[in-house]
Amino acid sequence: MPPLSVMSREDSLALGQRVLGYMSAPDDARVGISSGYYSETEFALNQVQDGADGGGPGISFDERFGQKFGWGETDEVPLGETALRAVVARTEALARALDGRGATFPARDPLRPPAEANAALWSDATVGEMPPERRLAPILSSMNALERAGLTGAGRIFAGTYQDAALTKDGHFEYGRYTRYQYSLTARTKDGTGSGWAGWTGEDVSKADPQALTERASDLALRTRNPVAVEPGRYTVVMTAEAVGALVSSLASMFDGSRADSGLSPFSRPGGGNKLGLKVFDEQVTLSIDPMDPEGGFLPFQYVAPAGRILQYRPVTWVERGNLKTLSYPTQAQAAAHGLESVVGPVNALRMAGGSTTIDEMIASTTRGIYVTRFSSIMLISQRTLFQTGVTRDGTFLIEHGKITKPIKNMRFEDSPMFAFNNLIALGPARRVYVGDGSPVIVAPCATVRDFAFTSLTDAV
Amino acid sequence: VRVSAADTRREFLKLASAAAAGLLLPRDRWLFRDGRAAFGEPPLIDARAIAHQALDAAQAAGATFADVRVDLDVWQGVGSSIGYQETVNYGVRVLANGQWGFVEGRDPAPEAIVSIAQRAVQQARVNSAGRKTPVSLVPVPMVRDGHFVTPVVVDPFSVPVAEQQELLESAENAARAVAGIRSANATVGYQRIDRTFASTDGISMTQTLTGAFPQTLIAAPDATDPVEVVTRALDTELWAGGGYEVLRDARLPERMRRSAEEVMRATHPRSVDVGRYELVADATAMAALVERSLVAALDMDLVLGKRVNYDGTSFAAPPEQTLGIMPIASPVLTLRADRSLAGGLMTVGWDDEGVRPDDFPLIEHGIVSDYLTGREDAAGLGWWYTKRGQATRSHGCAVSWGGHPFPFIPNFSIDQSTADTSVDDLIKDVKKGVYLSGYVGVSADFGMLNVYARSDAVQEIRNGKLVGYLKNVGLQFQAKTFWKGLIALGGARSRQRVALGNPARLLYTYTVRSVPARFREVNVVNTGRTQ
Repeated sequence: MPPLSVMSREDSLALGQRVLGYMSAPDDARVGISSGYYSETEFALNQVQDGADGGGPGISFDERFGQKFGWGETDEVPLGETALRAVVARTEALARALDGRGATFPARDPLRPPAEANAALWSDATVGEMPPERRLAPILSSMNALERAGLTGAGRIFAGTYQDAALTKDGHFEYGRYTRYQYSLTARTKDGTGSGWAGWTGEDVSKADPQALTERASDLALRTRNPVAVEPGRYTVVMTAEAVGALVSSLASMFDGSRADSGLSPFSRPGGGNKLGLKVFDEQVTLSIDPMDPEGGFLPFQYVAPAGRILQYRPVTWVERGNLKTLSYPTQAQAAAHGLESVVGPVNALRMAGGSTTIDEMIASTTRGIYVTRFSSIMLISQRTLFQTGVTRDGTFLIEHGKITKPIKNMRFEDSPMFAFNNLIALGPARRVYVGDGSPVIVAPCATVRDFAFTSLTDAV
Repeated sequence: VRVSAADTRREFLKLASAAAAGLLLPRDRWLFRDGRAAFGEPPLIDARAIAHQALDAAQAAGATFADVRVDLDVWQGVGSSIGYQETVNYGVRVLANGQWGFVEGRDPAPEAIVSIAQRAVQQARVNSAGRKTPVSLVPVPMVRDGHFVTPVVVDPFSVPVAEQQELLESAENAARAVAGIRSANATVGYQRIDRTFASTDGISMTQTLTGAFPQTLIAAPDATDPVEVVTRALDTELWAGGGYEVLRDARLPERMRRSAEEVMRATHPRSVDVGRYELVADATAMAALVERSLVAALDMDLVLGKRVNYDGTSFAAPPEQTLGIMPIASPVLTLRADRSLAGGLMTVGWDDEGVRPDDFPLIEHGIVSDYLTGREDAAGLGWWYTKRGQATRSHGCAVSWGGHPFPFIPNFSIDQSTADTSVDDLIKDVKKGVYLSGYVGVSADFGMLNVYARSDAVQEIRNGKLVGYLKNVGLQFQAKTFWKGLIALGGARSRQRVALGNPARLLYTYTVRSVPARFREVNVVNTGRTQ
């Protein structure tokens, strides 16, 4: 059986150098080397439906010929040199055939020395090749627990191991690797009136607790049976970290300065320019990224072949105590023109700093409000205001006089983190949250938000 | 597993992409002719050998059934720069102990293929401990050495890049020449998938699928709000199965000019007043509403409850209380799956389980008559097909994105009205309404019940006339009420092809033959809230 581990630093470098050697203009070229393996098992209707394993290595690259630019990518690494040479040659032939008139390229700053990678991103070399037995065990436990509780369940375990590297001809080389583990499940009552969900995502498999997740989903399913309708309208809402995380995730890609300056972002100023230095959220709100974040970390670099750039990430605080502190511009010169230090971002990650109120205290201090476990089916309506709509799911309750009193029917919301995070009453402790497959790395707190807008009811359970 | 293997793999593999330049028709149908031919290189992989080695190894390891998909996938994008992607992938699916196993890989070495097949069988054996009902599959008509090729007039991978750039630029210039237009962009992507399929049923086939995806965006400032822009894209009109001719024959400069003129007419929109409005949807808007709110609800995995941990459930359930009984739309609505449509994005010779698709009704006169199924799910519908005097079969809706095949949206058509009704006819009796023209973003909740739709191209109807553009329009409705409020459809002359789905790749997108439609009142909300 061939080894399934991701490529080592040495192998990545050697492969990257070979690919540079296939190029006819390697002086203005970049190469990315990636490999990854994943495995998953899925159950529904209280039985295992299927599983899947796969993965392998791949390369990507870009090259400039004067005013002509081309990029390519392929996963044909196992096919050997001939295949890779052909992909490079094909890409070069296409690029050279371009009519280079009118093409513009953004300036690039020189690359900085590689940053140290976050050790917390890598837990266990065997994650990606987690054998089916190891995936099945927690699923069998979950299914048995659901059966005993008279519930119907569905869920998924996913484990992946990845490696990325980037290389240029003048010897700039970065390498990093990370693991990813996810466990999520939905428990439903057999009469179809109750449904609960719980999910976990992170790098360190040993921190996952499928049994606790199963208990949480089951408890929510039983407690949400026979929900009653409450009138849609503006409510004080106690949101779990997962619910807040869904709102936070729509902010992750928004800290792009050029977008803000062109009027297409929530950080554009009406009448032109951006909102740098202005108060954009309640003062409890601090939003940041940090590759070394122990809970919400990511690789300190990313090679983006279609952009011809190796992005190098450093810690950035976008919003501090409600004020927009910085935005990302592609070069130092552009950043300096806005009086900023150059930062690279946005990246597919965001941390919203927490507060000191527990979710029980939030409930206890709410006279009349709604408790939201999770949002689902979210559609972004406006890039400019982040106005979005979605529905509550898997655990929506009425809060009366400091207590959860009854399950209520799910409701559609129409709101925005730009509004909700200006209407904050309290924040709780922040933690990594699972807001969906393939979503950004999000760390978020639970929160109480006032005047959150629910606009219609749904019978969906 | 609906989450595609591609999604869970790597960023660079997120989209299946592929097939290179060179000759269009494989001369030897089992050996891919790809870009290497142009460089004097030998064929990339021997797909037939991979498929048969995998099947043999799976059977030797104890699989009672196995099928294999081998893909060579090539994508090329042309704009002011070029991008090129090429992937090779094979997926081995097996049944052992009544349970599925699936492993995919890229290494064509015989020992790697054997190992992948053995791992698939081992996975199935292990997971069989968690299955109570063994998987059963409906039979498939026999095909040996089948071959299907998307008809292509001009191989898009052979057309000089500069020639394509000139065409795209002339279209951009035609749009920019319209006074007031701020920006106009046109690019194009092409994809070719060479897919070899073989199963232990003795079925074997190759298919070469080709698609063209021109993408456009035209923008002008909103005169009523200096930082807002009015935009239009023509993608839903342009994407199709085929080659370079899809772009060449699109009259793109004229289309972009007309689209730019429409943008300029829309630059003084009025923010909508909330309330109840009658609704007229053009063929594009209608296609999007039907697809997201009705066809998606007929996905058999959703109906059976297999997806409650993802998208949720469907109101079109259970099948026993739905098929032939449940009116989910007004009697004017009949929908048919249409995977043999010439030039359709989802047009194939066989689906990804080796089943030749047929054109079958999904909804007849407002009543559900079938679901989107694969070989596993169709097994549960035997009672219904028997009642209808039909064979129990999969209709060929299975799609694989590098992982397990699953039921997916096919091409489909909406039956037109027998009267020769035009959009103007649909509008003329509306007292207070909105007219949606062009793409509509639609989001249904996780029970497919409460639906929200938004559009950038909305006009106000007053007393049978279009009186001006509106902005910040959101529609909110309960699906069952909404579809029962469908009053009338357009006739033959209003029929249009609409491309839907994303990303702009084959097997993610589909072609809808659609007509405009008129509905009873819906809730219109204003999405322009700023604080």
